[in-house]
Amino acid sequence: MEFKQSLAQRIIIAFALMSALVAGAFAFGIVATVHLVEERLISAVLGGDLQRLLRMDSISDWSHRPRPDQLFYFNGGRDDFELPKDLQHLKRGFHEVFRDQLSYHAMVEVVDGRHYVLLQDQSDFEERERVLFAVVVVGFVLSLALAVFLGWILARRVMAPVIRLARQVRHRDQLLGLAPPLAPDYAADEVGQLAVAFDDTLGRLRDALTRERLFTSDVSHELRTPLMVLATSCELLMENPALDGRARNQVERIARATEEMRELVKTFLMLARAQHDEGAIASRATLREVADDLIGVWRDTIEQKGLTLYYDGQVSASPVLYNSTFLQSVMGNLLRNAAHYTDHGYIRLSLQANGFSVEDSGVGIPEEQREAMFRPFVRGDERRGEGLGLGLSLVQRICDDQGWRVTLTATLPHGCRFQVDLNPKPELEQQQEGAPVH
Amino acid sequence: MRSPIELEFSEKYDQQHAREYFQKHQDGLARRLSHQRDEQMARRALALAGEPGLVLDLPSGTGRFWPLLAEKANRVIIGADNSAAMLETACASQPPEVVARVRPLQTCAFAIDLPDNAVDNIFCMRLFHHIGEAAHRRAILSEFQRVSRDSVILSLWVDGNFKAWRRKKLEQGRGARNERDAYQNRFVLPVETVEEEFVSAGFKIQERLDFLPFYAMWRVYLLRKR
Repeated sequence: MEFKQSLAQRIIIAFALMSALVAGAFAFGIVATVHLVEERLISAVLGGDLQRLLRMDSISDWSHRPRPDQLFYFNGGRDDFELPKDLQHLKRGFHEVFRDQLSYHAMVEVVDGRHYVLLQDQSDFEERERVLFAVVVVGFVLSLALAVFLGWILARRVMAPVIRLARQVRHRDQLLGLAPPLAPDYAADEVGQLAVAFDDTLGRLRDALTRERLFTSDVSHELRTPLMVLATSCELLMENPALDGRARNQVERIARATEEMRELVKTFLMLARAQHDEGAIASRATLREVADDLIGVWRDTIEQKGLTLYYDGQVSASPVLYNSTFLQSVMGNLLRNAAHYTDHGYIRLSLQANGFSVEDSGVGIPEEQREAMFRPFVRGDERRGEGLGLGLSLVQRICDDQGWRVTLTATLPHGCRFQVDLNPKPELEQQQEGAPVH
Repeated sequence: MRSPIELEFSEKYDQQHAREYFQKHQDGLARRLSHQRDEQMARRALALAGEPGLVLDLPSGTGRFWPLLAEKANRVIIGADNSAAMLETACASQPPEVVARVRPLQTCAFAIDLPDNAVDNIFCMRLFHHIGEAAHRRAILSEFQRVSRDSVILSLWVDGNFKAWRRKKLEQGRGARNERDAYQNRFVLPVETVEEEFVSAGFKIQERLDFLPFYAMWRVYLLRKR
């Protein structure tokens, strides 16, 4: 079942419905009882009176008003006893008769086809009845109001912890270890259990994140030493004059791969260490320097594959310094990606004032998959070659970390274009632009 | 993070001033009473906010409200101020068991050095009456909206009461006599203006608590993040 209302509203509605039902039943019962009593009691009394009149010895004993509030009529009676027209159709038994302002109870007896009617003024009774009904209606409304009020109080009392807990876990995307546990604020009831469950889950999530960070950091750290050994060994090998041309090429490839790996490890290490002061120590470079560097590395690979590499680096020479490890990693991964998925055509690296784009004429990525491309371990449809599909997710992570923005669009006729914005304006800064600086 | 906005009044808070400020709220019956009423309002506001567990006290000044915030046993308090001197004085002058509960943080209200949705509540006493410019208030409020996960408690001076009316009168008289009279660093804000600013910053006004209704200018707002 789905409800549109909040919990508190639902409680109030339930209370109102319940009391409407109960109070309604009672009101109905009262009204029905009054009617029943009216009919039974009064008909008995009035019937008795009529019988008494009929049993009298002589007509002369009859009076038009046997009692002050009674009237007596019969068929063929003289003067006042004449049965009025409006009473003639009455059958035998008990009736209520309304004449002008007054209302009467009527008892009708038929003897030898002759109607005898005894009327009794019941205006007082009717008045009392009206008051009673008014009381019933007012009582109904009051009990409804009371129910709504009680429901409201109860909803506030009972729901308060639930509402509070809901507020406390709202927007809990922060996993700051600082936040105190929720559970101690609540009684050990169901809400308390919920709070404990939340604490538990959040705690585990926090632990998992910390572990992941530590793991990445440790692994990256541990990998640095063997990689260093590899690199120095390669250097030493290159010095060896006994090496022939082919072997030299192999060693160069090993050295290049080692260098790439070291960059990657460095990137991971930096990402793992969330502290941003790390960034201050890291080497910094302009966009142009990094791009020139990477073009030098990738030109051979790309051109060997029969692709054309365009490099539009002349347009801008922005002097802004960026974290060179991260920038290299982002640009390198995008170039690697482009080279990997493009078989014919071109790859273009264009630098802009505060960003760059990598364009290729490869297979392209269907619209619905573009989002997923930035998740870890997701690769394009064309499953080819080595690689775990970590490249683009790494790009995304670095961009998140550095406040850069990467977008993926399609190019015509096929291929894709990655645009990296190194200086997207946050909302806040735009707002503050108007503020003067003291 | 350095804030691009530096307010004139924030420069006066050196050690000396901080100590004086601490003293100021200690002596005199009227001050003590007024402090009690301040605490009463703050307590009420915190209760209405649902006793938040992680509170950023900004600016904490000399930690005047730390003991109050520490009344809830498992509350984590981040005491932030733009002035390191103020924080030092606060840590030195408040009871050690209270100070132990507080994490000091030197940061500026215009660029709070905390991630998004970092705290349950931002407890901002006696800052807004220093902020005369709407653009500055907007900047602070949008920072609050970013950093607070749920609610904001702030106090300021509003108009529509006797004190504000008298202040205006006095100022008019003073302005006529002396144009360059003292740099004014405190402002009375029109109720409609601030409330509109709260709403446009993405807050819902849950409660307004007056120091002394229709007389005093102090008013505490409890804002909920929408």
